Amino acid sequence: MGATSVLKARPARPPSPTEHTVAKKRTGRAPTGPGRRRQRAGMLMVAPALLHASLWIGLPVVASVVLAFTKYDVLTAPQFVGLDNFRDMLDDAVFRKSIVNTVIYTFFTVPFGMMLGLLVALALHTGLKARGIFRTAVFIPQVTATVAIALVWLWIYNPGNGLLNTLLSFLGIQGPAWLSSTSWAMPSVILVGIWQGIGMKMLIYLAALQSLPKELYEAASVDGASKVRQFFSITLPLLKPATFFVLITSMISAFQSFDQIYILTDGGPANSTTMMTFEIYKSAFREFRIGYASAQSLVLFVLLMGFTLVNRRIMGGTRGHN
Amino acid sequence: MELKRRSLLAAIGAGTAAAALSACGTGTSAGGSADGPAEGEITLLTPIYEGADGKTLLEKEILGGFRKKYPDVKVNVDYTTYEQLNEKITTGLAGGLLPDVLMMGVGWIPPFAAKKAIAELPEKFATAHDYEKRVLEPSRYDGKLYALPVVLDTRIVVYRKDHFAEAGIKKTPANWAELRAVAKQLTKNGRFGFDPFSIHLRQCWETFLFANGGQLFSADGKKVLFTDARGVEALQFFKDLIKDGSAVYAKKTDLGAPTNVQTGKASMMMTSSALWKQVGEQNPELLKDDKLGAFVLANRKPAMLQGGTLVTQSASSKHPAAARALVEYLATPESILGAAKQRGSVPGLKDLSDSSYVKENKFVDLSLQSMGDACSEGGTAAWMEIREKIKPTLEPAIVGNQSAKDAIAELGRLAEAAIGRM
Amino acid sequence: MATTELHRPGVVEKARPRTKGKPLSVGRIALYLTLTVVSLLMVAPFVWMVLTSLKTPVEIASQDAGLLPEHWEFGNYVDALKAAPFATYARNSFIIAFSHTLINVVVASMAGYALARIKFRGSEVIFYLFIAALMIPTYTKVLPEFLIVRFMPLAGGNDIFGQGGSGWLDSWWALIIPGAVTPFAVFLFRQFYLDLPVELEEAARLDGLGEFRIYARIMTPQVKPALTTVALLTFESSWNNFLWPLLVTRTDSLRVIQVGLSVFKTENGPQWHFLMAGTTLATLPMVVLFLIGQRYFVQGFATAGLK
Repeated sequence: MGATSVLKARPARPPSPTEHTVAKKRTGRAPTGPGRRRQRAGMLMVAPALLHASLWIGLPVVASVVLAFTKYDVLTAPQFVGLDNFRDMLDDAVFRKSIVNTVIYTFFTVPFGMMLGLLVALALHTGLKARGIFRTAVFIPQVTATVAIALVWLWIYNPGNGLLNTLLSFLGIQGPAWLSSTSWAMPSVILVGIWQGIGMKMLIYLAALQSLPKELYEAASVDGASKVRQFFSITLPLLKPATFFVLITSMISAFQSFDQIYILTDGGPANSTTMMTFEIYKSAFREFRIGYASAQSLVLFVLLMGFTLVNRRIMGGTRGHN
Repeated sequence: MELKRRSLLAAIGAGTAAAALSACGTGTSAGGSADGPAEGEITLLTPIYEGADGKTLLEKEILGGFRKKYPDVKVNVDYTTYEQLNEKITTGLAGGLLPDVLMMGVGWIPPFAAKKAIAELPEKFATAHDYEKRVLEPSRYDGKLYALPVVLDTRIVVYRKDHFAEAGIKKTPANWAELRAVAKQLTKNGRFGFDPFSIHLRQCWETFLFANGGQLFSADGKKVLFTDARGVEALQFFKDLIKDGSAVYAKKTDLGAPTNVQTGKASMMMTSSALWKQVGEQNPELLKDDKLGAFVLANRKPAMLQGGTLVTQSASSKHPAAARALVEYLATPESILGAAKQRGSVPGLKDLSDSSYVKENKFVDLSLQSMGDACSEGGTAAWMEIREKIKPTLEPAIVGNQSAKDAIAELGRLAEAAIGRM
Repeated sequence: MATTELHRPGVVEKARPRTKGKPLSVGRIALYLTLTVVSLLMVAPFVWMVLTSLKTPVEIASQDAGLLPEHWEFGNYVDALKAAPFATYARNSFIIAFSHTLINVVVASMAGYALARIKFRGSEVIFYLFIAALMIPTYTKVLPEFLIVRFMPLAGGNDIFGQGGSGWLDSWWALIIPGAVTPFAVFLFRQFYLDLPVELEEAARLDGLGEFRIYARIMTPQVKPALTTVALLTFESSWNNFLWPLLVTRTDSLRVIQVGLSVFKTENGPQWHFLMAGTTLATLPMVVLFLIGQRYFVQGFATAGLK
């Protein structure tokens, strides 16, 4: 794996503007005598989580990879079929469509969601009165039952007496049938996705902001740097690990979004909102094609890996040091 | 060293997966004999008997009676929802732990019977009660009986009597030409004539296909028959209604929400027999003032799509005699009537057509009387796969510009591919 | 609402020294207004859920009913609670969510720490494996995971090869163990440990502290916001989990709150008034938990003395 990235494990210090070069030298230290004891401690500390993941995620992944080359309907034992599932996939226009939809959905929900999440976190990081209430309010979609969320959005999008079209009618605009229109259903689902994801992104940014060293800001204030300047030269660079985390996890969860689709549109109309996880679910649990679903999962995984590596490259490239 | 450990993990992984998967095969092998005495501990998986009422009905009344008759059988109930029934069954099958007795939907029997996951029932069960012959068709595979119906749900047309009277319409439409004309006539003042879309598009199109004299598959389930003109006409009819402005796809309502005939936004709609119960809860005044009527859709012939929940027995049950006894007991008139009452469904027995429940529920009454016109979906071992393709494949013809012919042809292609994979 | 101050006075002083005594500026008022609008957008479904839980079915179905219930049907709550043994379900959910939170915070923070601060052979590969593990969708994992639980050797009547019984099915093990540690938490912890100054651990090492102590005593107290975040998110997702508990349990006494709520979702459409009442009751603990938990985000950087 590449050497230049924020992903790289290394003891780091916050790269303050003046100590930048110092931070650079500290990376990549070779283990020495007592270092070996450290190494062993590190391995021991990772071991429980690693064992857990190997059993409960690693093993299922191995099983899925094996199943991807079989025909398996749970009623009879799996049958090796070579690349048949992948060949079927080439023929499957709906799955292709779901890949395109997933990418579009991710492309819109992730950047906008992250921007909004960061803005809200910045606003709620200040010493506002009642910020606890505001924070909770923004986080509430994360804990509200999906049925309640879906129902309210179904009502908002209702073409007849829904909130959105009522508002539009005040402006003299006749709104479309949001969720039943092949051109508007996807944007509608994207909006719900952004809305629902803000709380989580805010939470992580908020936690990261709280951990930033205050002295840097104090020093910058003394130096007369403006708030905007401080944000771009101190806050944003220091938020890089958090941003990377939010980016990767948001992208993964966007790729795996299922609930909104399941409840709002069922993938329709005419497959215009179907996504990869939804197709995987349908193949496995509605059509009993476990082998095919495993093959689809493999494609999803490879795609996600690809996107992650691209993101790592981008994030690594823009990072000032290392 | 790290590498070694990982390859070891992988090896263990592959081994366990193989063990698990090979065990699935043994899981579906036949259990003991069903002819012995009914005894032992069995599990019932059910998506119905929901809520507190349902639970009381099942555990106190139905199973209470069962325990009296079979004191040596202990029944554990595993409740699930319809939406997660597939996941429960899939995991149960894969783990070789399918519940002894399970309930599933119409159309599921052929795939499960074909793979010998469910057990054959003695033919005498088919004549134990006064079944309409057709009602047992979805329970059969290859001529043999595999399940018994518990509750049925039908798809009928419900209309507003007051709208009809207002427009001076005296009789309900007897074919599509009349239906289209009436729908057009009723479409005015922001009201639309006919809402066929508030039930699942798959079931809606199937009802129209059957009413047009069409069929889904050949008797052996190997050939696709819906690609003929009758299937195309059924889909084209929706397009015509939309063109007339008398049906609007975007105005369909969701399950459980007040329907368009309840709110008066539509004058007719395709709906399920269970609507009566829903209206009774949401708009009791409509029933009191006798504003709702119902009829069976007809074109070349009358057709009422009939679905429902069937009870069947796992082929791998360790206590087949006890399981069979429970299947039989859940399908007795008393058990059926209780379940139907609780859900507003149709009890599938002619014996019950004079019961006060059926007499009071006009949609159920009509359904039971019209059972001779009932048709069901399914009929092929590839049904689980095909049923998922119908709605998304037909939708482009309704919301988009695709022609009915192309959409049906595409569906036919997908269905043939699915059957070919069996 | 605006006067509710949730923070202990002392902490507040420390957290916002710069705002003290500042008069309300135009910018600040605009900020409050914006935040209020945003908050309203976010809580709308929640409020709607609560209001619906207090309506009669007729009112819910009615077209011209107002937003507020005509008669406040608090009886819905009483009736909903009678529909199933919700006390048992809530207890089970709490036990599971609490165990998950505890295990996840301890195990994942340890792993995150090691991956962030200790360079050992394979650490980078392991880190990538955790990220890769995040990418596996639920519906891909669920069947193999179920099979592992079912064929768990020497459990639930199984022999050493996992045959003969039902493994961990219908047991606390199945409910707690598979979901106890999440790669998400490992990843999150790692990113937070990454940012701590290296002087901290070097000073501790000079004092002769062992690696584990440095982790537990020196470094972990510095990432309290991350601990809170992981705790809140773990508890929340565990509390709201539905599919897995439904699949691995059969006995009513092992069922959880979200599965319990599904009694109100019948095939012919949900019983909205009961479903919303039950869902409100199930959501409230999460809201309260968050209100309390977010306090702990106020945490200064405790390293001031070191520099």
